[in-house]
Amino acid sequence: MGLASVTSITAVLIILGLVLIMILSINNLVVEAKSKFDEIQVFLEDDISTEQLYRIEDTIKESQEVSSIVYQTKDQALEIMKEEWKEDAYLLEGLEENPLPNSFIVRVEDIEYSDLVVERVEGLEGVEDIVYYKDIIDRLVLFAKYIRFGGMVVIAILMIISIFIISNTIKITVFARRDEISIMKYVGATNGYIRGPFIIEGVLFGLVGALLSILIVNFGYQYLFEAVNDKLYVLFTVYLVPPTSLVKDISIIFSAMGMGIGALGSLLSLKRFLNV
Amino acid sequence: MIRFVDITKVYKNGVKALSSVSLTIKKGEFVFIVGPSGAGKSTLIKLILKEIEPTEGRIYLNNEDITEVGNRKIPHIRRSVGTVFQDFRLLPNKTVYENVSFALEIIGASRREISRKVPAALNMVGLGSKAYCYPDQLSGGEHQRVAISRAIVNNPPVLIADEPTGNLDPDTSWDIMDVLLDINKKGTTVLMATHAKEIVNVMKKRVVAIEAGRIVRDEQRGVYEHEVANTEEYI
Repeated sequence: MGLASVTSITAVLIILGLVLIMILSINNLVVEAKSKFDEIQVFLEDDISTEQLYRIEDTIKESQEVSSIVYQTKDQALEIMKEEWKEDAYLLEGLEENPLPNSFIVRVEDIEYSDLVVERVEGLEGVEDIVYYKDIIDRLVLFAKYIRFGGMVVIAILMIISIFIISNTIKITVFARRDEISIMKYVGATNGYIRGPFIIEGVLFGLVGALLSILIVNFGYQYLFEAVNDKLYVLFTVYLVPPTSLVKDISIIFSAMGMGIGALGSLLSLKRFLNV
Repeated sequence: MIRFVDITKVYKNGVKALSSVSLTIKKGEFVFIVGPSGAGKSTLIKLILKEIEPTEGRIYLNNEDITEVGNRKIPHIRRSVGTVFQDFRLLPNKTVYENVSFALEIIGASRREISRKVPAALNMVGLGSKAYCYPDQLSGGEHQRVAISRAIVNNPPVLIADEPTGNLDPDTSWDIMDVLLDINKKGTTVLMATHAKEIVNVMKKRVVAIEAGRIVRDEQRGVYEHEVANTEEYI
């Protein structure tokens, strides 16, 4: 039964660790994305007149939310594309004419404002397409919210289960010692004195569980992080929380939660036996 | 020392165990509580130990109203009342010495205090030489002596004995009575619930008789019962 208690605490904490890592990584991603994707790219039709071009530029400049606006010609766009493609860039050599459109690259003060800017520019003549990232980021934020909520529900349920398992485990010890407890009550032992050893037992279960889960989560995540780093894009790991920054927080949170679950479990197990 | 004022106790299942019982026990008294099973003797004892609360009335112990006390104070009340039970209630895996020292350890006595008081309490009941025996090496009478020793080790002003001779043969019972009498002579108030007619009749102490939740008789130098008719009724 002791094994069951330790295992249940370990399981709860490992899942807690996974949820924590996910939430932190998504938060990271949101922050990164917000700073990187505060761009709106307004693509222009090829046969645009100078008048139309100026009207579009003026409309964008009039918006207070805009922090900068840059005109990018189709040639510049192609150059940038060639740079990005690196060794595959020779594929672009075969093009007879540049298929890329001219565009305005607009930066806004805050990504929240991008809707406003887009609304104003959208209807104008000469605008072919507008690309911006607010949708994606909104979706990301929502996703983070779901994970946080779902994670908390799962953790709450698992916590209740492990408290129950611990309380049952300790109940066995308490039951075996019920005569001693009742005699202790008759000679005037306080409830605190009687609870002491059982709470220590529960807290110890919690500590062992915490230790195991700290090891598993830290080493497991370290391994995962490196594997992702090696085999996938470096770009992706930028958004994952680095394992080293996690060790301390996880150790503190896990120890506190493990001991808390253990103490609570043993308190529950004693409730009935203390009423003499 | 102990004072019950108009105590009524009705259990949750509706059984009226005591009705309007008033009783005063002075410091240093030796009192027998007698009466048939179910008369209310145990209820009386449980009320003093704060195992149960009275439905009506008030209880005083050492001039202190203990009718309504918080759970936190109950241990302190029990420390001033030594208790001995019919079934001894010793811990089988502890030696005689440990069984007695246990009562001091849990109230936080110092080691020096323990090493001084435990042998004294064991000598008091005549078990000084069996300190390191385990309960299963002792006779029934010796079991009860250990229990008494545990009850008096921290010098409580009151000793309550709930049928202490109920599981013992007559000779051993008298030994136990001698021990209780000794303790009483040293100033401890002794309250003993019992069915042992002969002991009550020979000892000539105060007798409080309870029947159906009421005190029917309370006399100094009393006897177990007066009328022959009653004897038959109980048998």
